[in-house]
Amino acid sequence: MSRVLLVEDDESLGRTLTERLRKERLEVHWAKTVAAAERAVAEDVWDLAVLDVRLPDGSGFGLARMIKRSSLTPIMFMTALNSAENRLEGFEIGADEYLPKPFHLKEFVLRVRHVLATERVPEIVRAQGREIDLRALSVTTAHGERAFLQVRDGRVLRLLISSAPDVVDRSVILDRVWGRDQFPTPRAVDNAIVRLRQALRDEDNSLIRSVRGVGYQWRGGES
Amino acid sequence: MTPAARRHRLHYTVATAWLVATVSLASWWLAIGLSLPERMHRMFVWEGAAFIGLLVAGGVAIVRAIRREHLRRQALETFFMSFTHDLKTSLASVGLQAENLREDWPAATDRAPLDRLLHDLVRLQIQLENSLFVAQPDGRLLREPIATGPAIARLAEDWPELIVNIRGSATVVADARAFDAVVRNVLQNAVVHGGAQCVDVTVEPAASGDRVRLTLADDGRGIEPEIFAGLGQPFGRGSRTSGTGVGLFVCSQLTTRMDGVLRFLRGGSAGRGLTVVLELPGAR
Repeated sequence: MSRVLLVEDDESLGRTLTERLRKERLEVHWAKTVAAAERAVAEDVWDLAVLDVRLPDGSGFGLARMIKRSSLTPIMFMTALNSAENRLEGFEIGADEYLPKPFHLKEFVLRVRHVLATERVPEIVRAQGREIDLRALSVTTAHGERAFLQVRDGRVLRLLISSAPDVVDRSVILDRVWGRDQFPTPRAVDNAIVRLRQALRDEDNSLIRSVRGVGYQWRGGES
Repeated sequence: MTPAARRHRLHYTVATAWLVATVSLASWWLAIGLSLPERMHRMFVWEGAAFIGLLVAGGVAIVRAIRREHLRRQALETFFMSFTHDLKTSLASVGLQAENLREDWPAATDRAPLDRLLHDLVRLQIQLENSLFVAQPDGRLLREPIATGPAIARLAEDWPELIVNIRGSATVVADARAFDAVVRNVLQNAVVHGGAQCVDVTVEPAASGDRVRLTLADDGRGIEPEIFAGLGQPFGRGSRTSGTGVGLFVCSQLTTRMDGVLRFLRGGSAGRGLTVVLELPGAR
């Protein structure tokens, strides 16, 4: 069962959405403040964080940045702040969805399902004798050697695995993992891939294939 | 920087430049006056001092007025944003609860009051969005790729009883929020003021090649000839129903700001109703 962290300070709306997501057989934790959401993020792993932006003790944008720094959780904003500047900020942070209020229930559920389906990767992925634990951000080789991944490299790996067998463009990796409020060059992606190959002991590039002029492709399969 | 902020900075710059230029001119005039014979000199001192005093007072008053206006505008915007934020959250909450109720309602025939409630909520949402666009005529718009077919199909769900036939699809470059507002206003207009049952949407490349033409033809009552020419004008009422005309005015403004063209043609689907032609830049 997928686990959703819902951050919404409006009592009535939060209750309605929680009930609806539970009806959709999702496990939901409803936080009403940034502080409560930060505790939930620190204590648990979430498959999706649905965030309001204007919260009593801070901004959902700040919370999203914190979540992006510390975990692989995809983010969906659900807010009445719908100006160009707000939407731009949301996408710059690297949000997977930006749903302006008011919205239809059907649309909300569809978008939640879409993000969950796109980002859905098993916590443990086995590939050519290696075991990749995306929750613990670690890789264990066939010889039992264990290496740990950086959060950002973990996001890149998760994106490649969830997109397989498609090739993922470097610019898509930059947008989805770094977000548009940072200004890394495509070189940053290449460096992350080098670190991932080292951690995976993928000397012959059989797990992560480089596609010249485009990007990278995960070829490890998954289980 | 937003257009409003740019305009505000321009006002400040012009006011300051005016103040500096006039005070230095007056000072120069006074300096020349001091070098003149005694009688002339006294006259120049008094006249010059009064002149400089008036100029400084005028300049300071102008700068203060600009600043006060800026602060007032900021306070109004903050209030308006906060007010609409709360209103949108409440609307979302009421709408979702009504949709929940509607889904769980046992018999479809008894759902009419809920359908009416949802209808009115959509109307309120559109009015609120229109008022926000009117209040911020120079708010920033983004240029985003929008797949027109799926976007119109999603927006048409606001009117479940309306049949919307979409033929063709193309991606346009426009602001997603503004595009939604234009299409929702056109559909709302067709249903509420035209009494339309069906809207035929055709998406095709425009004659110029780099644009996409969306034609929305409804089978409603159409528009009376005497007010047809005023469609899209500020608060030009497009029917004898209770509309204010603000919806099509907002559509017209937004389309122009998105480098698009909005036209109205008499006669819609099956030779009746209204046809709205929307041309927007296409995505490469």
